[in-house]
Parts: sequence; structure tokens; C-alpha cells
Amino acid sequence: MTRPERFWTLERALLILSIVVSGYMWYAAQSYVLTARRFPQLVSAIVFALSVYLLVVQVIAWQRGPATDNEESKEADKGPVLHWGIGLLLSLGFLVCTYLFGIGTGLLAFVTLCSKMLGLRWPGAIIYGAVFSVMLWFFFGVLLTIPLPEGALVHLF
Amino acid sequence: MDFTLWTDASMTALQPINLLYLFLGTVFGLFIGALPGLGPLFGVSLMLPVTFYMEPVTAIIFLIAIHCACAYGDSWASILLNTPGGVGTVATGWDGYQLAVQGRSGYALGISAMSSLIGGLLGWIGLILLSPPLTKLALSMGPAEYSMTGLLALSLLSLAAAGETIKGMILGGLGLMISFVGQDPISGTSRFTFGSLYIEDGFRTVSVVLGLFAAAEALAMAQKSGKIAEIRKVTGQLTEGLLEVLRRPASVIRSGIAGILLGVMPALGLSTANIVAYLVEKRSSNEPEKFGKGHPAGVIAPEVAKNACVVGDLIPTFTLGIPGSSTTAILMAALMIHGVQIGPSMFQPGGIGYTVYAGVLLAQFAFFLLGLLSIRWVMRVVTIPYSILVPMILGLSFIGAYSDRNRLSDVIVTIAFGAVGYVLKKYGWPPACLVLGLVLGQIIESNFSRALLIGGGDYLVFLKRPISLTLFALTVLFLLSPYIGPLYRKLVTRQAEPLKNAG
Repeated sequence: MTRPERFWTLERALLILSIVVSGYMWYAAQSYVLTARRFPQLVSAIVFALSVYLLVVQVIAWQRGPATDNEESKEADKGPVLHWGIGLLLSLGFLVCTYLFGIGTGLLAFVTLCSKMLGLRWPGAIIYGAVFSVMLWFFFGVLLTIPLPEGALVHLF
Repeated sequence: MDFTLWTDASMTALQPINLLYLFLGTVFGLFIGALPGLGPLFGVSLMLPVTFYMEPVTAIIFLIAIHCACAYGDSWASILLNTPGGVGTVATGWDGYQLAVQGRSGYALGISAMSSLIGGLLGWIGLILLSPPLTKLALSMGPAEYSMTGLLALSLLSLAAAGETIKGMILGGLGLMISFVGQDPISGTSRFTFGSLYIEDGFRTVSVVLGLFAAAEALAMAQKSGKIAEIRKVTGQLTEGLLEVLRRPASVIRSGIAGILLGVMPALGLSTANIVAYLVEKRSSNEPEKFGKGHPAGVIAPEVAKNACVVGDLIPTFTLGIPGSSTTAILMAALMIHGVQIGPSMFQPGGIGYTVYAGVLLAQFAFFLLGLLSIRWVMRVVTIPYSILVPMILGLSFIGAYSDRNRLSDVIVTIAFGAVGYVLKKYGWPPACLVLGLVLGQIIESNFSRALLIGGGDYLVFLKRPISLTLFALTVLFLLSPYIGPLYRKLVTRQAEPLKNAG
């Protein structure tokens, strides 16, 4: 028994985003001077039209087409994997951690958690996280002398 | 040709710091190339932030070394694992892997190494010969021609997007739209910023590129478990393969010319050259039935064309300021970040053009020598588990995005474009079109506006100048070409039907 393809896929969400953004850009450009609005309006009108066309074509094909398997269930890997949504959440966690505690802590936490979720054992993940963070800190912070974020909380102590 | 300029340029390129980065770039490029699916675009994107603190010449030599070595290393994965190392080695695997299966992987790798070197050298000769006339052409081009060349580049890349022309056009347009955010290049008006100071300068190319190509790739890798592949042992004579290429000069020259020509065409890159050269070689061969079963010419042709194209791509990039491919668009962005004026001024006394060309030549020998010496070791990279590789790529992307302007907000952009890039990859959209739109955005828009100002606001200004008109006609033709063929066939069938019925 096959599971029917859902209408709402990430691709269609992207197309709708493209329609909204190009529509907004066309509208917002009206308030600018002629040189600043002419080309943006031309491009956004083309992108809007093409996105609408592609979405309509996809909707028609979806209505007429036969039911298919869900792509994600086909691609599923049996081993430890990281769902892309969780990967994004971890990335945002890295940002918050870096902002509060500095890049060293942010990287250590991010790399350790990420590699643990992808199948490394805790001791291995922690060692890898620590070694990788120190290497990056040394390369970017010491060799390239980039002022890496120390964290907002560091100034409280 | 000014030999004093060449001597000075060669001496600069041979400075120890440049040679060190040439070496590092080549080694890094070979590692990235050996990983299936990760090509020059990924390698150059990931290392772009590292170049911010280098001299412009060192930075560009480092990135070119990565580009050339990645393109060469990509073939290893195609030959040994039957998985294209990058988009430019699809055809290499058709015969290369068959040779590996027959226990002649060393022979195939030898062919690949020598073909890549000769292809790179042919491309370099093309670079030297074609740059002066194109530089002269660039000097005679006005704003209308420049904006049309940019649009032609975008249309060619959309066309090359494997049957997804509309998706390519949408992404190219979205790339242009991202480039509009910030100040208008003519009037300086602040646009589409929502009053935010952060995007007053527009989106940073580095953050977008790192998100689209590095973070998105890592997110896709995170969906797999274990390690990339098992190593296939290198067997057979490497030297025999090296000599095989020298016995087939006709194949080499044919493919070299195809590679250079496709490289010169703005935005048509490695993937096209690799496959076109293979098909041309098969058609002109006396034994076409042996292609796909381990024919040496089936490896020589795509490899020569690919590397000729890698260097050929630099011709429009450095002379016209229009990227020859998506990877050279990033090279162009790197030069812009370093404040280098791209175009004819690069070749004036004091410009870095000739030094870069000397660096391109050195990069060919570097990947050839280091590649032959290290292949057995570098291929071990495919046994690295995803649990190590994914956090490494993501961590490097984040810190790379941060180091552009020392702002965490740039990392947010990278994460956002990482998500977008993942969706694009999942549904087969070509993200390279978006990057090309972003890089070309300001060039196209400023020239478009200037041309209209000169023409008094009349859009016909683009059709009144012969070069501009030709470029416009070509753009329209290329964009419509996927639809003209089927439409014509439909019309012919419709006309033939009543005759058939009557008969």
C-alpha cells in the first residue's frame, strides 16, 4: 500500500515564498527613485510570473498524477542520522551558546552533540568536540588574529 | 607581449608564501575532490573566508589551486567508486570505472592525471592567447553590452541546469533580487532593508555561498549513516596510463578545444565540457562500440576537456568581469572583497593579472605531482565517518561566515541559506544560478541603469547597438531553445496528420 504524496512539500513552500518575496519587492520598489526601482521591478515581475507558472504546473500535475511514495520514507537510512530540522535547531543553539558563552563553548557543545547524534560515543564525541574547537580557535583566533566572540556573559564576571 | 611584466609576475608567483599556499590549496583540493559529491564549488566556498587575511595574489593563487586540484581529484571518486566526485566528472566514470572493475584502476588514474595536466596546459595556452583580444573587446563594450553579457551568462547557466530551465531562471532572478537589498549602485538609495542597519550593505556573498554549498551539503550528508565508501585498491600500471594519453594526440587536441570553447562561454562549466567532449570523442572514434566498456579515449576526452574548461572559465572572468562558471563567480567575489578591479585594468602595469596567470600554470603542475604522489593516501578520506565530517563542515562554515565581518548575524544568514540550499538540493534545483545572480547583480543593474540614463530612459537602447542586440537575441534564443524543439515537432506532426488521414 503506497502512501499518497502530500500536496505541501518544501519545494512548493519555496515557490510560494518566491511569489511572496517577488510580489513584495515589486510593490515596495514603487516608492523608490526611478534608477533604484526600474531593474528590481523588472526582475521581480519575471520571477513572480515564473514562480506562479511553475506552481500552477505542479498543482495540475499533482491533481492528475498517480499516488506515489513519500520521498522521505524512501530515503530513510537505518543507521544514526540527523534530521535536517534538528541540524538547523542545533545550529541555532550554537548561535545562542556562542552569543552567551563565547565561540569555544559554542563549538564544543555543537560539535559534541552533532557527532553524538550521528553515532559517535560520548567520550569520542567530547574529545572530538574539544580537539576541533581548539584547532579552530588556534587557526582563526591565533594565526589569523580574528577577534572571536568571547560571550556576553564573560563581561558579567 | 611584455616579457618584463611576465618575468616580474613569475617572480611574484614564485615567492615562498605563494608557493606555500599553492601547496596547501592543492592538498586541500585533492582531499575535497576525493570525497564523492563535493566538487570545486564546495572547496572554494569553504576556504573563501580563510583568504580574507591574505594578500590578493596569495588569496587567488590559493583558491585557484583548490579549484584545479578539486576538479582533478573529483575524477578519483568517479574512477574508483563509480560516484562522480563533482558535476564535472560524470562522463569520466563511464569508462574509468569499467577500467577499475577490470583491475586496471592504476592505468585509469594515470590517464586521468596526464589528461588533466595536458588539459590544464591547453587551457592555459587558451587563456594567454584569448585574453588580449577579449580585453580589447571589453574596452569597446559599453553599459548596454555589459548588462546584456551578464544576462546571457545567467540564461546559459539556467539552460545548463539539466532540464530545469525555469527553476534556474527563478533562482537566477532570486539571486538578482538578493543583490538588490542594500544601496542602489547609481543613486545610493537604501532599498528593501526594513530599516535594518545590518542589511544596509546588502547580503554578504560569503555567508550566502557558505550556506548554499557547505552547510546545505553537510545537512544532506547528515541524512546518511556510517562512512562514505570503502576504498578500492589501486591496481595496474600508473605509468602505462600516463603514456597512453601521449599516444592519442588527436583526442587530446579535440577535447582540449571543446573544453576551452565551453570555458569561454560565460556560465557554461565543467559538467557540460565533460559530457560534450565524451560524446564528440565517441562520435569521431573508429570503435564507438567499445565506449562505456573501458575505452582509454573515454577517459582521456572528458578529463582533458574538464581541465581545459577549468582554466578556460577564467578567460571571461578576468577579461570581461563575467564569470565563466559558478566557481569562478566565487573567485570573482574573492577578488572584489580584496578590492581588485576585475577586467582590463588587471593587465595594466601594477595589476595582478599576469601573476595570477603564472599561478594558474603552477597550479597545474602542483596537482599533477602531488596527486600522483598522494593518491593512495588521499583516497582514505572516503572512510571518514559522517559523524566526524558533518560537524567539521558545519563548524567551519559558521566560523568562516563570522570571520567575514566579525558579526554573528552573518552566521544567521549562513544557517538560513543552509536550509534553503538543502531544500534546493533535495528537489534538484540548481543553487549555482542563485549565486551567479547574486554575484552578477550589481554589475548587471548598474550597467542596465547607466545604459538607460545614456539612452534617455528608452529601453530600445539595448537593441540599437549591434553587440548588445546580438547578446540580447542570443539570451532570448538560449532561454527559448528547450521549448522551440518540441513546439516545432508538434507543429510538424499536426500538419502531417491531415495528409496522413487523406492518404
